[in-house]
Amino acid sequence: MTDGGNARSRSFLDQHRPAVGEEPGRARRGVRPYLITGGRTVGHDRSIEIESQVVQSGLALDDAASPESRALIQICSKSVSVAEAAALLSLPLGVTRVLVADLVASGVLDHHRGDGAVDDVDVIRRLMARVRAL
Amino acid sequence: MFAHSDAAAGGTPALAQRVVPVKMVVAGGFGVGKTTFVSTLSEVEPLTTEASMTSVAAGVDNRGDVGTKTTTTVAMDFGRLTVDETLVCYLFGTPGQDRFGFMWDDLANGALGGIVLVDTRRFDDCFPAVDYFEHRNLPFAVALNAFDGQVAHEPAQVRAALNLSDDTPVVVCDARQTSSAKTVMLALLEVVLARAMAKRGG
Repeated sequence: MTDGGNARSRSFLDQHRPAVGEEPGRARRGVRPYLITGGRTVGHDRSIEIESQVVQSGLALDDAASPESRALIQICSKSVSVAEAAALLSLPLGVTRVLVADLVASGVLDHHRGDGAVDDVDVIRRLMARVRAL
Repeated sequence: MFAHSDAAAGGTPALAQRVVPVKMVVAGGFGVGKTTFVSTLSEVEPLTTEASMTSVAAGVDNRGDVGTKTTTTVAMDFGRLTVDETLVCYLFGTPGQDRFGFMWDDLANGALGGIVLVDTRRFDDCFPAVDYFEHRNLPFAVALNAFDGQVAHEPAQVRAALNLSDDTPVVVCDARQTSSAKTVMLALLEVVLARAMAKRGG
């Protein structure tokens, strides 16, 4: 049945998904997203993809860094995607992207994309083997 | 580029082993089982993040109820499949119903391929996703999610109705079953592999 097929997704959505039209920044944090990003619009650095991996570079964070930046750095103690960082921080994706771009620019985070993987036969075969093993 | 490796050694995995990210896009109409499909294949409970869609989306949103609203927030679910220490695959469920704003481009840019989940009782819902993937020339597979264990239309009928190219797989699946979701993924990956090999050869 339809209900059976969607049971898992629905219960999950009920727990985690904000209501339609709800502003995630305001509802969850009491802080509007543009305050976190210093008023800049989101997504200004298109080179940072949602699956791009970000990880601490080892450079220390500036003392004046925002709490959000500090939390982001903490999460990046191991390589994670921008999307994972956003989800773990409960920050909108666009806001997370701006923070990542800043921290990459200042050298605190390293980031890299999966460029070329689409045409990489070895990558595709490894992924197929992993899927078969599920 | 490994200038910071020494500093990173203090409790931090160094950059010597970079993780290559790849992604797949799971699309389809509302309630068709995208999140279920993602969670079936994901090694972790799917994560959710919010993305904003700007007015760019409004012009191509056929719901027609966007009006003067310039920003909509949508939730996007995604899962993760770690292949090994240097390769990870993300599965992104497309947010919203038929909204094709920049969020979709974000999802499709650099993606290995797409999966269009279809509820054959609400067949029309899959058109935007099929159209989008075809326009982007992104390899995709069409998966007929068998609600109640059945599909209202057979794969051959669906292939004809959608006028799909020969190399686009159409398979019946149960998004809740790992073995079934695997079959869909592998069908898509065969196409992705064939394209990559053709490019290498050519």
